[in-house]
Amino acid sequence: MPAAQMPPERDPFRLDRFRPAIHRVETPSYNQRAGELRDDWFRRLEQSTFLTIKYGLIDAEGALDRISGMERDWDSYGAEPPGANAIRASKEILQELAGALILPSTIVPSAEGGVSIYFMTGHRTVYVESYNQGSQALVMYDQNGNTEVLEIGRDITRADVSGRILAYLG
Amino acid sequence: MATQKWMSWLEDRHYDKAPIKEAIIDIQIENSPSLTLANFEKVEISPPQGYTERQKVMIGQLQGRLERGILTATAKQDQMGYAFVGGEGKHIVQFRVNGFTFSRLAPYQTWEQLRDEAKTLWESYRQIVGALPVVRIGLRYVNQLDLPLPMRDFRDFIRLYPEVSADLSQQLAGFFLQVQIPQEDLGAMLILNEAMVPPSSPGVASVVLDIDVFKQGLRLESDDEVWNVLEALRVRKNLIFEGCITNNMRELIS
Repeated sequence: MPAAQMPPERDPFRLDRFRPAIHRVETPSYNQRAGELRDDWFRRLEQSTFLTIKYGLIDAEGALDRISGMERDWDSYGAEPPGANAIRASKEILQELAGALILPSTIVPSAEGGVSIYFMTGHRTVYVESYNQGSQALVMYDQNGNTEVLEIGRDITRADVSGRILAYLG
Repeated sequence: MATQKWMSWLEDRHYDKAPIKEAIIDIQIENSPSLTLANFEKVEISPPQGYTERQKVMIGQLQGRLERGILTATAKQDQMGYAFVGGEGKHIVQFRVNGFTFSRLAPYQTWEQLRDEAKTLWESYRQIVGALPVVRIGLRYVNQLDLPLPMRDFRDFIRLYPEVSADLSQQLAGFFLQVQIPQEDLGAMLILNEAMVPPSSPGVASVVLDIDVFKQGLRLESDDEVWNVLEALRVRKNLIFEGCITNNMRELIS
């Protein structure tokens, strides 16, 4: 009877000795457990309005930080990057809207130099545009092409913006 | 006897600067084929008095699959009910086909006010869903503890924290911790999540302490029993909160 073959001695400090284990954890039960934990955490986040707003605001401010680092001509049509004034004004408006339990759908740089914060429902869209030179506009439109533009500070006060957004989006 | 007095004092202790950001009462009912979203729409659900309809409540399902190192995901959403906002934006109530959830956002008032408002709303919900038995009852308090900086050690303020080996750097940029502790005497479960979050103001480190105590596997047909369970969960929740903080923290929120 042949003797059992012993594996060659391995250097215990070689990290690749763990490779087979990494493959072994990719099993259906591992994936199922990871999925259950993720789903449970999402349910907990969704159940709590405070946490939904808190983490939503963290995400939104993260998006603002990312676009604040854009360079000139980011759209290849010569657009200016969002300036410090527009970023600061956008952060302020995000904080105010979060206080009214409103989170943005998306945040993008504006081709006119500034930041646009979008809020969308099925048929209607609102965005708040904060321009680099300091002004802000509230723009509302629907899929039928009806559009309304209000300058914040002149046509509508900052304090009334959240109420107007809620009323428009329904 | 002295211990009982001490426990009783802890159970009802009131803090003037309570760090409660949200208190949630969650009651789930037995699934019934006779109760669907269509039933909700048939009765032309209207907002409870003092509340406005805000949005549909959706349930999202994200299914991920990891196979040979490649992650694929599919998502779908179904409507489960309606959410209403009241109390000057501080109250949110969800009427769903599988249950009822009432949230009170900061500033928190008292347990009695929370419970009484929830009871009133629950009665409206009962009119829609009928006498289906309650299968799960949960009480959840989301606290945000603002620890003053500079801070020597988390343990000066909280008594549940990740123990970092002394051989590692003690500078924590963040942590997330979950413990699940059966509450055997109540037949309940505690799920406690604790996490560092961005500070609420300069000069503090903010930690969310999310206490969720719940009983499931129930079949309660009497609403009185439901509220009795909630009273017991509330006492337990207070003891759990006290068990998580130090006297330094008590001074900060008193």
